[in-house]
Amino acid sequence: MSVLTSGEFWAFVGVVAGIYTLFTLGLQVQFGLAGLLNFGQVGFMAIGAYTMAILVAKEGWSMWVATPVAIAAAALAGVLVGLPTLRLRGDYFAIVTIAFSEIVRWVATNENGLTGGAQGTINLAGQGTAAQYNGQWERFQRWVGAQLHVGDKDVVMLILVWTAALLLVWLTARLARTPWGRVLRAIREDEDATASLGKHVLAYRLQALALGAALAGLAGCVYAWQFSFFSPDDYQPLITFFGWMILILGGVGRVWAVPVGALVFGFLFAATRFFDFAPFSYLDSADRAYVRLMLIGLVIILLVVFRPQGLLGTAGRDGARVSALLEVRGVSKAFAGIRAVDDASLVRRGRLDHGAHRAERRREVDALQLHLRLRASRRGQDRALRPAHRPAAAAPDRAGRPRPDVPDRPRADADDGARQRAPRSPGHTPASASGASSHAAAASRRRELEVTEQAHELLRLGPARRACGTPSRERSPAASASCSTWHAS
Amino acid sequence: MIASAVFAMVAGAVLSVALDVVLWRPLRLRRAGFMGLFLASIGVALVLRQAILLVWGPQPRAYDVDPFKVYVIGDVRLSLAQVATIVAAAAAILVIGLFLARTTTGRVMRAMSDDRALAQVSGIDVDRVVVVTWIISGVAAGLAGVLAALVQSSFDPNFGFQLLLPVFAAVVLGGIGSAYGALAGGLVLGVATELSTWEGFGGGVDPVYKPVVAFVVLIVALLLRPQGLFGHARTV
Repeated sequence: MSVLTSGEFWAFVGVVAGIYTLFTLGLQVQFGLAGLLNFGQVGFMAIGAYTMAILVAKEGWSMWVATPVAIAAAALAGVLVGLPTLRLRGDYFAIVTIAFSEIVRWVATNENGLTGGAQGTINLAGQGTAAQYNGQWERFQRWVGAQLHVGDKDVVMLILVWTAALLLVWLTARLARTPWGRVLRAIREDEDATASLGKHVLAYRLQALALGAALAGLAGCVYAWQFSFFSPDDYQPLITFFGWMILILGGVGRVWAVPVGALVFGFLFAATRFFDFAPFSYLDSADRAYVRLMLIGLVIILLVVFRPQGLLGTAGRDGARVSALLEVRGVSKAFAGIRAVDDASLVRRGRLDHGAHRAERRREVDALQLHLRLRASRRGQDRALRPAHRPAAAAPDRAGRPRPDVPDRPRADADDGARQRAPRSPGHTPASASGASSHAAAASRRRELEVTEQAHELLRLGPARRACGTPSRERSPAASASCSTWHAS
Repeated sequence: MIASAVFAMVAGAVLSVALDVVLWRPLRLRRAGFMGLFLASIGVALVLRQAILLVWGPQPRAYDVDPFKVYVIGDVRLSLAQVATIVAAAAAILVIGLFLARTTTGRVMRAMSDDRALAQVSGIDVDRVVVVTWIISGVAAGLAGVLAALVQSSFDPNFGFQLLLPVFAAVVLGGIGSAYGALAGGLVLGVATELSTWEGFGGGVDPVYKPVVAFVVLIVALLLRPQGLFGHARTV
């Protein structure tokens, strides 16, 4: 049992976990945020590691220049892979990415002149000379060790890896809460709805793929420094699945769970390598490697069957199975000095697998948006609350009067304000032109009332009250209205 | 040899059905998504492969077949293994094709792949059809394993993974869910990779890059037809 108390063992666990944290963080961005099934992450890792090693060992670049270039190369590879393949269906994309990672490995194995071939990086400088790419890294490590008064190389590595890993985890967590991160999650949940809001889905996905690839590239560089040598065989597709296991272990969509999953994995991975007590002592080292991978395979299966939302996750919070369909947080509204809604939050949960269900939810969101837009336009200001996919639908006409809207009319012409308003589609209103306009207005007022009712139902405020709900034609001097962005996350 | 090949096919079927009962059926009931199913199958592959390594070791093996026995048909020279493979593969394709086209179970299977819910409300015993599907795929996989090992003349526990990617490529190329598509995809990929090394074909590609050629063909084909050669366009 002495293994468990040895520093060497825990340093190994820690470094492996740190490298896999970086690696899996990329998957978290790609799958957790954007829903991309990238099963070829290891290919980007290999590109990062090889670019760095080749530039340093063959071209004599400084490590400090070569590493950013290597990370950029991995990101560029992400863009190049994504451009043709991101339009594919999710399952096709997954298979094509595995193929990509195998192509990278194949090229690395066979292009002896470029990568050193199957013998690995030792062969980078050609036959007869042992190439090295980590001299500068070792000097840096010693310098850091001297600064921190830490003698042990492994401990310095541990500190460096985890500093980088935690910093990037923090940055990624921040990123997930930016508008950019929210758009990615919206794309993950419903690509068509997000596209209809005017977001360029492909561009966002490409960015997510490239960012994840860059993180893998960095993981590749760190891996290369840690082990001082690598060969194409270090980039087996299996590595990608280790990353996926960590991702699920922690929980899909939870950025801070990645290091936790990586630590559990690192322990599992290292345990079967270092443990020398029974029952492990009955097996020789090769057999132990088999048992290790078997164990990891079993853990993957058990996780998928019993805890697809991760060890730390509770079903329902950004998990793969259940997620919030409609999430509104911190809504405050006030009309004529009366605070109608104060910091209200609303989360609707449910499954996404029924089309009808989904359409229903979308209608609810529409009703809510419409309601708030109406209130805003009543103030004659119409700012900030206009949803992007119905441009100018509720803009006040040129006389300054608010214009009620018919929700079933998908698009309204922004220019028809001054003219007599003739409905585009004769859905609910008679189609005859000017004579029918008062009729149409009455119908849309009725409709507006209905929608207001619906929206209030949704906000759980009970039936429409005079203070904030009843539509009235006079313009109320509203005090303030603030509204959070909504997103189905 | 033939008896053991049949045994391999039966073993493949039994293993498939057993896995369905203990793993896939619970996952189906939980409505696991593509990601879950894919990862679980990778896990299964990992466990099976490592179990084989643990029990039988990593050394390459070969069947006891005379590699020098050659059949000459016109200008074509074929080894015994190649003849056996061609005959067996053709027979398997014919049987499976007839099964899918002519028998009730085959038709039910195609109905299920089209619309599972509709098949279920039409009174089809979905679980029974799934079991039959697993039996067929297990038998086919067992046969394919034996034939591939026969043609490659030596094999080790890792050779399944080397086969897996070209198989994926063929299925994706043909269009997931289409049996004839898989056949066409396999043929197109096989011919394209072999032709790519031919010198009359723009100098030919270095033979080590044959797998790369397969995937380049796949990616180009998918760009032109994202749903695969025989796949149905996705309807939302």
